[in-house]
Amino acid sequence: MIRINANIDKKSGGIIKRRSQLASIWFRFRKNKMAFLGLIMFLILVVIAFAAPLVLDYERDIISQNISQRFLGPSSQHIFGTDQFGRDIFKRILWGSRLSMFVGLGVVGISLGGGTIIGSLSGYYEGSVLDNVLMRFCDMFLAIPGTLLAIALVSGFGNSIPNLMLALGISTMPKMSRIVRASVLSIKNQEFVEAAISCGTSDFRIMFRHIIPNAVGPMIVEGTLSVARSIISIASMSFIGLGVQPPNPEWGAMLSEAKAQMINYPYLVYAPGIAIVLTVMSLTLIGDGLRDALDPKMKN
Amino acid sequence: MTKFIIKRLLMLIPVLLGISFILFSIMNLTPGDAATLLLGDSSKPEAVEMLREELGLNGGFFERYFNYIGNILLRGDFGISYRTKNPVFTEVFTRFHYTLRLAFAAIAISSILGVLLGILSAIKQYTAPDNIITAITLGLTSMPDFWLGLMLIILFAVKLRILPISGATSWKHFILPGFTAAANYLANTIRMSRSSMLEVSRMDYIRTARAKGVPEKDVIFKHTFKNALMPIVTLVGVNMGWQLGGTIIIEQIFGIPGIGSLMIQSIRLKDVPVVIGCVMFVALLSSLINLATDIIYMYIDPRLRAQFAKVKKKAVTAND
Repeated sequence: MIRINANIDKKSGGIIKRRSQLASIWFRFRKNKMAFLGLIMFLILVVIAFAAPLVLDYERDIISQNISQRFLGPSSQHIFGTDQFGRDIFKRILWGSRLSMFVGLGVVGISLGGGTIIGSLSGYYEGSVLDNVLMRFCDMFLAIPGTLLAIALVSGFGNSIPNLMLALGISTMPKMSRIVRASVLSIKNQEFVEAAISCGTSDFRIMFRHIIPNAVGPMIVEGTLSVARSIISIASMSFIGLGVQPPNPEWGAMLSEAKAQMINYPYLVYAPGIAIVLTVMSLTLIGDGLRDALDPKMKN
Repeated sequence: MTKFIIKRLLMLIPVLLGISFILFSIMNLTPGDAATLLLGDSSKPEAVEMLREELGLNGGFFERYFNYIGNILLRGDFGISYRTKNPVFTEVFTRFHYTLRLAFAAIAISSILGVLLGILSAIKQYTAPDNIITAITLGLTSMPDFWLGLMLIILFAVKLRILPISGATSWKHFILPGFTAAANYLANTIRMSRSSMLEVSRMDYIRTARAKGVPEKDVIFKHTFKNALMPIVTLVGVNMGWQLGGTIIIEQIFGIPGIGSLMIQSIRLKDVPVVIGCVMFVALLSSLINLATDIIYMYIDPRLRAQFAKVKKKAVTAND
């Protein structure tokens, strides 16, 4: 939010106007019922993710096995039932929100960070050798299916959460670079950039103080949607055994464990999937709502 | 036209070389090698060394890469699988038809259903059917495809017992995986057809058609849909390309022995030639499909064709 403030401060140059623009974005966002619903769902999830360790104990509630309690169907005591090791599925899902959020944000942090550097360099020096080299590199990466690239990276570097983040971050970076480049291109010919150039401002400063803050809108939208997609990718990777490993209660890893028992105990696979769907849906709704709220065409 | 096609084909060469280099680097510069993975951890060091020699794993990184690329360029030889010792070409081709069948099933389902639902959603904008279709679209995009696959298995194979759980021996085996693979693309196609239809329906010529009393059915299918078709065709082309390489996890769930399963197996064993062969094959095919889409695009849109002819004429006069 602070960054948006800074950005708008530059554009309109006044405190009163700054408030009104941010307020108008918020107004448009709030008018969109679905987006607002998404925001509420997401806030609930964030609260769950932060509150989980206050209420639950990782050793006792999440990973300790209790064979006498295994395969209990959903009941008032265990809302979603217990799994093949007698662990309460509901508690595991609550804890799992931490992993999905944390890893999802990490992935987008990496791809947004790298994408901003690559995209703004190649957009600012459009048509140069640097731009050509960077974009051809992106083309090559984009021609490799993303899942496959991530699988190759994780199986190469070894199974661990940081490696998973890195692999998914790298495999989504080319697309992010493209988006940043496109918005840099649309900004760099505007008057305030020309003014900055004529003042003798350095390229580095123009890029990071003048252009990127103004390109932040599309980046926030893409970032939000990208967290949603990353959560699906994380679950998919964990599902095929190349991501977060059991007994960690990541939702994809839970599904992977449940898959073997699925035919006799189908309730095992319902809850983790629904958790993924709700999380991804809330982020998608927020992203779409933000896009509409930030779209200058809708301002009138 | 020919020039355009040749140019696009030539642009493929650096992309394919780049892909091979990226994958070769990832697979070779990360810890673990094929010989150890094939023989297991408890194998004798001498045996591992012999296998390394046999597979050509000894030698510098660039030396091996240029050997590999040289064999492809000079002899069209994509190497031999470390695991099965068969040529990569045969490995890919014996598996490919499964992936192709899955891709066709998915594309057929997502295109036909997607366009129909998209049109319905557009002509009933802001009514109950539109809202329901939009909700379905949102649900489909938010769902991991592997979970949808599991749900479909539980419903149709376990509870109703009308379709097989896994395998690839009859057309029935491709229904569930086809729907699973179609899900994401279905959502895209619905959205694209809806917005494209809505955009065209605001045009003046649609109002003219209505004003002169053209029946509503004809307005929708002859006037609106025909003009809304362009972006949909592109999307189907792009989907087709991605479908070929993007069904890795779905193939795993449904036990389809296609290219996706082959790739996962090969990545785990560091069977480098097979991995690179598969990816190059998929990338080549999807680029060719995209090219074909662009050509079809030109043929079905008279405006583009006219534009192309004009450019050609201009070029001719400029040369004079």
